[in-house]
Order: sequence, then C-alpha cells, then structure tokens
Amino acid sequence: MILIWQALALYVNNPFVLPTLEAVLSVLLKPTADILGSGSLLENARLSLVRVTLGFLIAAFLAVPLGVAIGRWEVFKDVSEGLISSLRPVPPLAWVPLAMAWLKIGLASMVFIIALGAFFPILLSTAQGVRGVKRSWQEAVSMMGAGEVHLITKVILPGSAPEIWTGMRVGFGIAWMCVVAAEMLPGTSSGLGYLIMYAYGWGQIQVVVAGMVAIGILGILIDRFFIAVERKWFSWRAYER
Amino acid sequence: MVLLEGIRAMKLELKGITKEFDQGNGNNAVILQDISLQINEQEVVGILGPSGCGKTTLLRVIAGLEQPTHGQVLLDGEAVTKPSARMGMIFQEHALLPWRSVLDNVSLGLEMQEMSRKERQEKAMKYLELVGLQESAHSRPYELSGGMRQRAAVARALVLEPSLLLMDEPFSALDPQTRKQIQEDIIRIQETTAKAIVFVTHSVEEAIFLADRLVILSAKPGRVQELLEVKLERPRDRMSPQFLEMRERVLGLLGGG
Repeated sequence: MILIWQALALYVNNPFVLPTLEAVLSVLLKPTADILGSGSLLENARLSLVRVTLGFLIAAFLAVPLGVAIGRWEVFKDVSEGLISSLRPVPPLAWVPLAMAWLKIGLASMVFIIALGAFFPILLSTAQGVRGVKRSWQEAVSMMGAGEVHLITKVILPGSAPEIWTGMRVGFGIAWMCVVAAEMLPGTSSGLGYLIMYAYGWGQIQVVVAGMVAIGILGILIDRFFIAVERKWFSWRAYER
Repeated sequence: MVLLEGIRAMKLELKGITKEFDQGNGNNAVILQDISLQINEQEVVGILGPSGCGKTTLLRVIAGLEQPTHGQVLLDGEAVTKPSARMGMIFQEHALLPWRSVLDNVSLGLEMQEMSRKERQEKAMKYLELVGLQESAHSRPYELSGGMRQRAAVARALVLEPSLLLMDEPFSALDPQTRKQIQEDIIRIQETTAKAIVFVTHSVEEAIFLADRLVILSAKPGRVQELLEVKLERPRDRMSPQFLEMRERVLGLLGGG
C-alpha cells in the first residue's frame, strides 16, 4: 500500500494532490512542532482524545443502566423500542445544527454529537447481553436468597459484561469518527479534525495526510486496548455455550 | 405420642399441588395434578417418572422457582412463595458462574449475606473439603471436569446450610464411573450433614441407590402413582438380589404407568 502510494505520488508530482511519503513523515515524526500556528499534532490529538473520552463516558453512563433496564424489564422495552428504532438510524452528524442551536458552538455541542455516536451501540449490546444471561445462573443465585439488586450486581452485570464491553468498543470507534467530523465544523479551533481542515485551507496536503494517518493510528491503538482487556477479563466467554 | 413425633419430624409438605401452563390458545395444559406429599427430616426422597410427567416442574415448584396454580408448599411449616436460601438446589447443568473461581462461586451466598471475606472463604473452603475440591478452589469452573463442577455445585448448595437439598437430575451428564463415585459421596455427605434431600432422576438405579423413599409419578397429567419405601441396608450393593428385585419392580411400575 505504502509503495503504491509513494509510486503514485512521484508519478503525480503535485504536492497539492498527493504528497510524497517523506513530506508526510516529516510532519508525523515531529509531533510536537507547531503547525501553521494552530498547535502541534500531539496537542491537537490530545484535545480530540479528551473530547472523545468525555462524550464516550457520558454515553456509557447513560446507555449501560438504560440497556440493563430495557434488557431486564418488559415495561422499559415496550416504552423505549419505538423511540430507539426511530432515533437510531439518524446519523450523529445530522444532529449538528440542533446541537449548535441548543448548546452553542463549542465543547458541549461536540461532546453531545460524540455521545450520540457512542450511545446506541452501547445501549443495544447491553440490552442484548442482559437478555442473554443464562437463566440457570440467575436461578442458582436466587436460590441463595438474592433479591433483584443482588441479581443485577452479581449475575446480570458480570454475565453481560463481555457484550457491554463489545458495545463500548464499537461505540468508541464511532465516537472517534464523530469527534473528527465534529471538529471540522465551523467554529472549532483545535483538534485533529480542525487541523486537517485548516491545513487544507492553506494547501498543506502533507499535513492533511499526516493528520489522517494519526487519526487512523490512534483509532487502531484504542481498538487494540479494548481487545486486550476483552481477552484478559472475559476469557470465560469462550467456554460458554 | 406417635402423632406428635410425626409432626415434629416433618420437613416438607406438599398440599394438593396442581400446575397448569397456559398454552396460549385458551387451553391450559395440566402438568401436575393434585400432588400431596410429606417428607421427613433427614429423609432422602427420589422422584421418578416417565419423561413429560413434570418431575422437574415439581422440583421447581418445591424450590419456589415456579408458583403452583393450586396448592401449597410448606417447608418447616412455612409457606414457600419464592426462591430462598432455606433450600439448596443443584441443577442439571452445574450453573456455576464462569467469571468466578470455584471458591468465589461457593462463597457467593455468604458474600450476599455480608459475611467478612476471611470468614466466608474459610467456610467455603470447609465445604470444598467436604466434596474433595480443596485443591481446585482457585480454578475457574471451565477448568474442571464435569464431575468436579457438580461437586462444586454441591458445596455451593450446602454452604448456606439449607434446611433441604434439592437436586434436579444432577448427575445425568456424567460418565457412569464418575456418577457412581459422586452418588457415594452424596450418601456420605447426607450422613454427615443429616440433610433431607429431594431429587429427580430418570435413572432407576440411582433412585434406589440414594433414596429412602421413591415417589413414582404418572405422566399427563403428573400424579403420584406409587410411593415406595426402599428398605435396603446401607451401603447398598447395586448387584445384590434385593437391589435388582427392587429395580425390576420399579421398572415394571414405570413401564406400566
């Protein structure tokens, strides 16, 4: 892939269309250098990560309890089903105008968009995980005199944790795409998404590509983290069913 | 005097248990019909019957996992309306929580009673020793053999010192050798803990080996067809003429039912 890129870049010979490998690497290898007066690559990546984490955490704090409720109690399922199935297909970015109208341009509206992106995958896999918790586990624990609270904390949550975690992994992936897109919107002045758009405005395509590579690498690293935790904590999952 | 003793010795009483399931077409399927039984302290009772006679349902009703349509279950004179720690249950499938170690599975009931960590681990360990699993205390359930898992399930059911032990075809998935071994262990445990046990099985041999008394159910609807005392000396020899004769008799009852 890299070879084809380099060959194409040399063939096109136009840094405004496709920069060469060296040009992009020179940006990537100096992550602390200021770029066009809008902060370094590292600083912008840090800002994007803080935003995505904030939005993700808000989404998780809302989606996990709600997902448990939907998965466990029919009432919640009936009430929420229509709402969820009509809201879920709306892409998070379609909320941008409303988000800006409600929350003004800035951190709050960005975090709102990110949280929306992460919310549904976490909600749905939590509900599914809760429904999949073996009945025999619940019955065995209720024979120890467990009430509803103990059933949820000792069986339902740990029993559906692998699915919840998978939902978080997918949700974080979507949130990461959302943050970059949200940062490209007017009114932002930092973050990897902003950096890409800003550099594009100045014709610095090597910065655009470097930014894209940085986004990709960070996305992969985060995904790896989720997978590593899954292997360590939820290895029991493989032995069930 | 005799009557008084009878009252004192009663552990579990089933009064006219009927269980119907709504089939969804307006008709109710009658699974259990008017089952009345009395089970005494320290008694081991085996429930046998053709498949579909509702023996597992009966055990679940006793456990409080299902509500009878009519009738009542009394444990030590108190009505059973929901599952509780007063009874210990061993399921067909071990039903151990795979994310917990064997020790943490056994001590879970104590954990929910908010016993201190040290205390509950000591107590759980004591019961793991009783079933011969002390070496595997820190293993995960999926690292154990089928027989060891069921032993862990036995320890888990006993640790809360239940008044009655219920077993739902607990050894049906085990190979014959392991099964015999664990049956002998159950007898030994019953003798040391003096618990009353009610179990369901489809193995006539297992029922005769373990039980003081057999309840034979007929199918569709499940009714008490026959109550039999097993008056064989312990330890029981599966190959003795008396054992084999008893076996023939029970098989005859099941076949003719």
